[in-house]
Amino acid sequence: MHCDDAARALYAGENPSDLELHLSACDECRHLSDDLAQMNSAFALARVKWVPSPSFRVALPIAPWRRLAIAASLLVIPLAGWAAASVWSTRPNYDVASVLEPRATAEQTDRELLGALFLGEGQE
Amino acid sequence: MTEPELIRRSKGGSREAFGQLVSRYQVPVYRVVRGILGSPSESEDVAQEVFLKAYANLAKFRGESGFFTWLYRIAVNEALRARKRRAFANADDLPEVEAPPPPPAEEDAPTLATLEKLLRKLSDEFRSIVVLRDIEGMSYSDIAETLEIPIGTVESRLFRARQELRMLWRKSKEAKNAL
Repeated sequence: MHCDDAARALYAGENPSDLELHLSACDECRHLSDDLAQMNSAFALARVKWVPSPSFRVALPIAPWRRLAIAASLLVIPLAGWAAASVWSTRPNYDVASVLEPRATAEQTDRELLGALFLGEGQE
Repeated sequence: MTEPELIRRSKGGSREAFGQLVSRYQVPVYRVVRGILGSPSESEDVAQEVFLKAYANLAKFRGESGFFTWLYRIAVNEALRARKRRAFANADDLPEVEAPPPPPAEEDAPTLATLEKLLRKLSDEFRSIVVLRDIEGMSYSDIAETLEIPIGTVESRLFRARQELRMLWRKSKEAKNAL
């Protein structure tokens, strides 16, 4: 076997029958074989050792419809709060019943009753 | 669930299905990126970008090639792009980014550190093909599909890449022995 053929076989990872014989007689090709074996060990190590850290996570982007839903809910919450606050602030701070039917709630004194009956007070 | 089913559901918008694809491929994708890029922390960022890009472009995946070759193609392209970005940034004002020194406690760290150092000296084309074949163990036809080159080119390029890497390996060994 010629050195070129041996080198070609070694680089291609092939093992023809006469390669061993050639390597036993050729220092140059044996060095090449040893180096490639070491390189292969390094590749095997890389396969095992090159892994992402345990904290590695792929954060996928949020789908457009979900983004819309989040935006909508972010809008709805303050709007609802504003609506509730405005309803609260427009509530009267007096008793509505006393305005609508003041007579129904306030007890008339005798003087008022007499005045209404005989003197016509409180009728205008 | 089978891979075609996961792909189909992912295309339909299922984040859970795509999450399963990520779990299946995150280690090999990281390894490809790491082999091309070198830096561990930067590789995680780029691996993340690879999956985001795949997720965004899933509709374009027609299943004519294997899903993993499609994903590896994105990984190779993103890693090379990140490398160019880094080289550009370094050329501007930053110092050359070197891999951190190997931790002395680990017995095999020097071998891996040597491999990383020597891979960085290869051209982009050679580094990519060595990583796909010798680290990932991909077939020639899958590499051809991933890199979009003919199989004959894969064979010849791999041969030359290994030749160059071996030459660098020998030099590195001789330099160590001389110390």
